[in-house]
Amino acid sequence: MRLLIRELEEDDQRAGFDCGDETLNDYLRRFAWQNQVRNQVGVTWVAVEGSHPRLILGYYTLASASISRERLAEAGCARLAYPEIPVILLARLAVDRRFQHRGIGELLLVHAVDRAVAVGRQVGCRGVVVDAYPKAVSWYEKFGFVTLPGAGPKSAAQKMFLDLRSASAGRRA
Amino acid sequence: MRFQADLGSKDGSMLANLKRELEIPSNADLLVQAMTILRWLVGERREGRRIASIGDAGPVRELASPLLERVAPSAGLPHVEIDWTDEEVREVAALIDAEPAEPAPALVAGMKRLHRETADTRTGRR
Repeated sequence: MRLLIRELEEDDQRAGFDCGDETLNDYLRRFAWQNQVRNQVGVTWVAVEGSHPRLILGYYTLASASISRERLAEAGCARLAYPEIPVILLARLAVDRRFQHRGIGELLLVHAVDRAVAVGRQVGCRGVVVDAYPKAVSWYEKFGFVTLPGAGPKSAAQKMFLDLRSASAGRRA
Repeated sequence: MRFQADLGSKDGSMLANLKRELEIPSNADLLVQAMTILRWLVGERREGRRIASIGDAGPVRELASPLLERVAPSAGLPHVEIDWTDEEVREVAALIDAEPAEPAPALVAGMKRLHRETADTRTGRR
């Protein structure tokens, strides 16, 4: 199977996507396109295969974010040399059930990191942040993401961080 | 400048076929021609243009190489707010202040796989 990973397009078949998680399904079916085009709150990339170029095998969504100077000061990091810490948020990543266990999720994650490195070279960025489901934490750790302690008590997800300097070195290796 | 490369049998055959088809006499000439074309592709993509081939019949095929996306203009990622706890902020600050960790082997392998297994062309809109 020869994969292509590209930005989501309007004609892509979003309705039939089923990764087994309704929140992630619902996002792709109802919100991903309008968030990309109208609301400007995330850019979604999809994995498709050449013979069915509109069938979405998996997707991820990226947005930019930062830790502001004020937030750094509040947390006691005022002596840090940076006015703020720009990061890229890997907001969602999912693979359709029919295509799971084929390494598509890995390719999507690595593609997202590759994009983050490229964007970071152009506009500055220090890392990739992901809100991981607890069951996915060890999977992200395998790729170098570090678990951030101190998640709030209401949080169902675990925040993780990948230093873009490591990611960039991984791309050159 | 001397350039030497070890190619697998598949890539070696491709090289020989390209030289024959294009009537290029030497590996060095082929390399120069390939660099010229790649340089053009990089320049076009850097300026935000997309690369496509157009035939008399059939759909337009667009080149979508992860390699070229490295020089494409920023995707213009929209900005969102993340709800950070103090501890998370301190940990991120400590991580970026420290020496970077070695890239994870799975990430290195994944990067190589990404460029090997993802498609080079797609059918798209004109």
